[in-house]
Amino acid sequence: MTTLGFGSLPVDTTTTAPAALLTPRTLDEALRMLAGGDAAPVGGGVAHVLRRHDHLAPAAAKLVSVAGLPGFGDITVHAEHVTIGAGVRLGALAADERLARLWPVVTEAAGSVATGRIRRLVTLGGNIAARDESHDPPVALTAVGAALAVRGATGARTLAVTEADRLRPDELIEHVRLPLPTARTGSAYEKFLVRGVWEYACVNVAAAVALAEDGTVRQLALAVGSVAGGPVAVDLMGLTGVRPDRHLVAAAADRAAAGTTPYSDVTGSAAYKTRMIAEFSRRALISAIRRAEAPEGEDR
Amino acid sequence: MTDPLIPFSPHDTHASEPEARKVMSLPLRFRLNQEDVEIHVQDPTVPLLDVLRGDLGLTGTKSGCAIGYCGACTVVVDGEAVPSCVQMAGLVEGRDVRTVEGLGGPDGLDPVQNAFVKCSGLQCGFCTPGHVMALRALLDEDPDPGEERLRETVDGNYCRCTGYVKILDSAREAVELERAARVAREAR
Ligand SMILES: Cc1cc2nc3c(=O)[nH]c(=O)nc-3n(C[C@H](O)[C@H](O)[C@H](O)COP(=O)(O)OP(=O)(O)OC[C@H]3O[C@@H](n4cnc5c(N)ncnc54)[C@H](O)[C@@H]3O)c2cc1C
Ligand code: FES
Ligand code: FES
Repeated sequence: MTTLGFGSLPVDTTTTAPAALLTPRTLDEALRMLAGGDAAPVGGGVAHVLRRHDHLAPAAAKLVSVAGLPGFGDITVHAEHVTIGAGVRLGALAADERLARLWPVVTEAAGSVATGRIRRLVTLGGNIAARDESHDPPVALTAVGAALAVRGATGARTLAVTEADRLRPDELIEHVRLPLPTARTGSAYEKFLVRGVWEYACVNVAAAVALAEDGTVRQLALAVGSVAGGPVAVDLMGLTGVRPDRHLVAAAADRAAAGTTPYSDVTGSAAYKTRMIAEFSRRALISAIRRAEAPEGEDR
Repeated sequence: MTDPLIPFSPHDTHASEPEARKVMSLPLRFRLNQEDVEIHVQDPTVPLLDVLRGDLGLTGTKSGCAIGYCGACTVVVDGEAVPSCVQMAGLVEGRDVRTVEGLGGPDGLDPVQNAFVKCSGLQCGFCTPGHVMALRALLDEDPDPGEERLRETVDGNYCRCTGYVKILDSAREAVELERAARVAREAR
């Protein structure tokens, strides 16, 4: 609904107590606030504002702002892995040149979200925790085998990106941990937009390929979004050890189409999307293979 | 329309608990167009757009879709152009907000505004404040953006009238007028 300048929407405060926004200085403080119950984290706050637009009550009585917590805005390349803080804005993620060299699939997925104006607001943690099947970054993170470093007042644990639904209300995603790619690894993201302009995907696919010394496929991953239970890591068991040719690409794309359940909506029927999943899996794989085969140091 | 800068009083709510009253009048302080503002909002999740238009009476910022798609509501927060309809008001506490009302001065319009006038970069004008603010933020960050960055910036803002040709002309002209204004300033 559009507000036409009559001021804030009247909210029925007799039934909906206004929320309080808390700004903790440290992670421990934030976790204590969340442990108290009836509290929810705020990243960029976009989903929280849109709740109000939909006439829903605030997510909790206490809203805990976490994007500014120490380290939450950092992208750090370690000796064996990369960490991306949950408060990193998708715009900053898309623009990170180190990450674009290591895992282009991730920067491409982040850069495919809406427009630059939205990407300045949205945080990676909020995008993942929202658990929307069509969100782009989780699809890319699933393909590269990223893990969520999660923390609650009682301890820390690690979840796969596909397990984000196991996040408890008193827990925070602290950062996302990505393995470093081995030599001769390539990755790519494909987001199919029916109208060709920015919007949520019809289908979105991420691919990652690692080649052995002899040029055969050592590791292969495909993840598909905008499907039931998405993002889905496609089972590609048995498809490694061969040359990365069109037979392999076709076989993997067929697995992606057969192993996912898209739903019909304004961007297409389920049957159409199944064909698009095969097509965009092919495209993502071909780009990923080309990048893996490119000589070291060249644009991957 | 309420007087700008007068704290708005919430509608009668039958809330008898003092606690509820206290939260209802959540204070919010930020810099707005180079002045300190303190108001009271119902809820920290109110969009900044509603605070600007409803509580502060600054109706230059337009509400198009109110869900982050069209860009008409774009304002500049700490130097970054963001859609104010999805910017949580509570999160602008202590930050610097610029709206189209803050542009221009004794010398006339801002160079970006002048560019839109000169190139007829508008028809109904509803999308214009969003374009102007996004381009203003871009030029503050990068006075010499290439064509690609200009296009990227315009991309976040629907226009249902012009077909974008004249908006892009205005964007290019804004770069030139900005450069001329800078040279003039430096000569002074
Ligand atoms: C116009 C528009 C277009 C969009 N298009 C796309 C698109 O194409 N692709 C796409 O992927 N997304 C898209 N988005 C969605 C956007 O990515 C989401 O709105 C995002 O979930 C909001 O991120 P946020 O940081 O603002 O989260 P918030 O609104 O702050 O939080 C979202 C949820 O995550 C929880 N949360 C936040 N941070 C954490 C944390 N660190 N740990 C645990 N829980 C946390 C919150 O409690 C809340 O439940 C679009 C949004 C808009 C408005
Ligand atoms: S009114 Fe904010 S983006 Fe449309
Ligand atoms: S001038 Fe009318 S919407 Fe752009």
